Amino acid sequence: MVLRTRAAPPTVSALRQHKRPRNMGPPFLLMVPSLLLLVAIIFIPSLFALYISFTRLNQYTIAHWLNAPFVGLKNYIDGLNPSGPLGGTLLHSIRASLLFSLLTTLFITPLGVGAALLLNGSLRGQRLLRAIVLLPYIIPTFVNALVWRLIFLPHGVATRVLSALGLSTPDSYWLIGGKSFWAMIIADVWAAWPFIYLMTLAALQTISHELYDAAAIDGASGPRAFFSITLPLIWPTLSLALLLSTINHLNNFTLPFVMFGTNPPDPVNVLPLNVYIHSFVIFNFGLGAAMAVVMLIVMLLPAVLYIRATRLGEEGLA
Amino acid sequence: MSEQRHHRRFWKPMTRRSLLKGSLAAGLIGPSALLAACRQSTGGSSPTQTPASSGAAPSAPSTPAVIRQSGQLAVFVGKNTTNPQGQTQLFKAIEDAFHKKYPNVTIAWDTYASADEELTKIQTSAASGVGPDVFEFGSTLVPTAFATGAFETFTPDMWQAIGGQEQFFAPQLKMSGPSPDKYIAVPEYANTFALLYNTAMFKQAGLSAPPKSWGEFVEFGKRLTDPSKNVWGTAMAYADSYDPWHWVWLYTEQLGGSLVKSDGTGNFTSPEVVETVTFWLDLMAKHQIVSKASATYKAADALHAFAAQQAAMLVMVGPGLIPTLNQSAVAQSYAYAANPTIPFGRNALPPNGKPAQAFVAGQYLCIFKGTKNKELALELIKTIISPEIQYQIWKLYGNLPVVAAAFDQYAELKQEPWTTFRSAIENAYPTPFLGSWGQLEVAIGHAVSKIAAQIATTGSYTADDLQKALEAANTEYNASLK
Repeated sequence: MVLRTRAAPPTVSALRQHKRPRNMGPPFLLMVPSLLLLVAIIFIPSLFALYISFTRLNQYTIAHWLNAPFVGLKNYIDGLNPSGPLGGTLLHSIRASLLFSLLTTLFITPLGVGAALLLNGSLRGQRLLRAIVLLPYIIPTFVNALVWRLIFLPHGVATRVLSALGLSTPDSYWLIGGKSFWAMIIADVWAAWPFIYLMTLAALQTISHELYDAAAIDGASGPRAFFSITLPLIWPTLSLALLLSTINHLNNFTLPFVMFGTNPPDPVNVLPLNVYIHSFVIFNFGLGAAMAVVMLIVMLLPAVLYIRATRLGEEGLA
Repeated sequence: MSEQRHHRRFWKPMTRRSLLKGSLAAGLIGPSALLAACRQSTGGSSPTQTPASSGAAPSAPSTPAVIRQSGQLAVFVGKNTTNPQGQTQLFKAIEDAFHKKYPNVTIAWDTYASADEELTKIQTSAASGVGPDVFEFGSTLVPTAFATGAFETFTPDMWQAIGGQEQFFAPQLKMSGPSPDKYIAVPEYANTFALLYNTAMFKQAGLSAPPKSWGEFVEFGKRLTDPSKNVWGTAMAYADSYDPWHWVWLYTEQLGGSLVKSDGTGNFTSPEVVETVTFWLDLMAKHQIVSKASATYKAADALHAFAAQQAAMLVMVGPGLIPTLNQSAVAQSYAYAANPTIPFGRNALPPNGKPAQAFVAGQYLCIFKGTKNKELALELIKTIISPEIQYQIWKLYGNLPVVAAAFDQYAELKQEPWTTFRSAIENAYPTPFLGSWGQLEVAIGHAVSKIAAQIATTGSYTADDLQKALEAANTEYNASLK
């Protein structure tokens, strides 16, 4: 990526060569087994999920699931209609998931970038610090969720510390009501920021010191060097990290499941949890599948936008 | 590049489009073939069977004997997480008893650790037609299992093979199926509910006996509560997925109401259900014998509060807590009693009220329809419900026998608290046999936890808030019906 920013514009002959049909046979054939597996375990089940989302598949019809009554878009309408029988549960979950994902990513970005900048320079105990900051990322999600549930319990550590600091009352409840949303964000931020740190640090280590030396000779200040050299050069990696992070948060089932269980407060009833509850707790597979399809679309959107914006993969084909 | 040109001589040039087409075709055909193969294996010999047991060796004159002596029986049961070693001992005891008749039949135990795993296994087995020979289910899941149509209906001959229906406590059979001719489940052990109370805290408060009515329950709760020490009359798991419907069902029955109408639709906004939910929420909002922290409690949190002597009573809890209690600070100071039956503010049951102390609860055994080992499955069930194994189950888990003979045969089971639990089993009422009961549990739990959270965070709730929450739950439940 860095090299591409420095490369000269492609010549006309190079562009012509790019459009010319090339022999892609051997590499693509080598990919066929993987592609077949992907089709079998992702593509075909996705098609089944799409089909199920148009049916009334539940405990009464599961034994003959291929003959479940076809209900068209009813599951989607029931899920999305705020005045419908389910109170727009799907719409609510989309909103909760997007807010959770975007806010978490927003909070972890400065934390991760800041830590990477700090630990990229020469610092005493750097190796130890680099290992320590990875700890939250290494801990399994369910352990992280359990620990944070304990911290946020009534009269738990969070309430005691915050009330001692005068930032909260002793009878604050973090696992119910509106605060539960922030409890989930805090737990996820703690576990996820090292990912941004890791990706940013990797990108920072590809930047040549000569660029900073030249900038210093030209009289550039620290912030100027950051915005003119560091940020543009880490941006391709950072944007990929932000995309992956956003998708990961959208897809995070374990954290809300362990922290709040299958009777979650409304603010934390995010899409993966709601899909699980409708499919595997109350046997409404049709609605669960409709939710899963919507979730897939929601998660595909940032990925498609990113790929189009960065024209990812074209270098490999050139 | 030169290498690529070289390969071009041997490989047909392939574009991305042609690759996609090829992969799609192969992807569709490959798994379809795989599915077809699986379907064939489902219809053929069971994976749990030897060739002989599936009838592949008809030439052998002693085929039935060989079937009995060389088969394998797959059994799917809940994992006992509080006493895993005890479960291993129990499996061994069952196998020893079973092997007296079938010495060469292997029992393959498979365990599930959560209700979610249990549900998933039903779903996958029902959808695929392939599953264990014998399933163990909780009582409220039996209607759902019945709705799938994936389990054997017990015929008179099958009942005869396991020793008849008469050996069981009659209420336990009420959850075996919608009617006696459609029973699919055999009671395995009971897990009835009672009131748990701290005898030391009662003594300290000058109370000599557990409450007999809900009025007394509130009155005693007030005497036991001391907010300055974070000590409360009781703890309620308002945020639990399943606990709320337990108390809501109990109190509604005592008031003479019902959670569902005769056609199976929700009855959550009926006066009895509204009064019931109001009572449970008022324990926190009005009577203040429950900590506001209870609004965040799951069942385990409520148990922890009791074990830490922060709550003096727990309603609708079973003997499954005994191993935990025996290792806690209250090991020497707890006792069980029957749940009160007279509603709050009354001196007697209302005209249609039922003196329900608990609902019929416990584990049940079902035989999967696809099994080729029905005879072995029946023999295993017969073994498990024998008084000897029932006694072992009680001794190892604290779960209660479902056959009266076990209570009569062993002196230890004629003492407290087991006589209280026997009485609770005999006086238990069944929940409606509805395939949609799981949806009802979730809907009720959601409504209760929502208002409890409101009370904890704002300090109060209105009748209108409760009405709206119950209406929403009722609509959600009705939408999930067949």
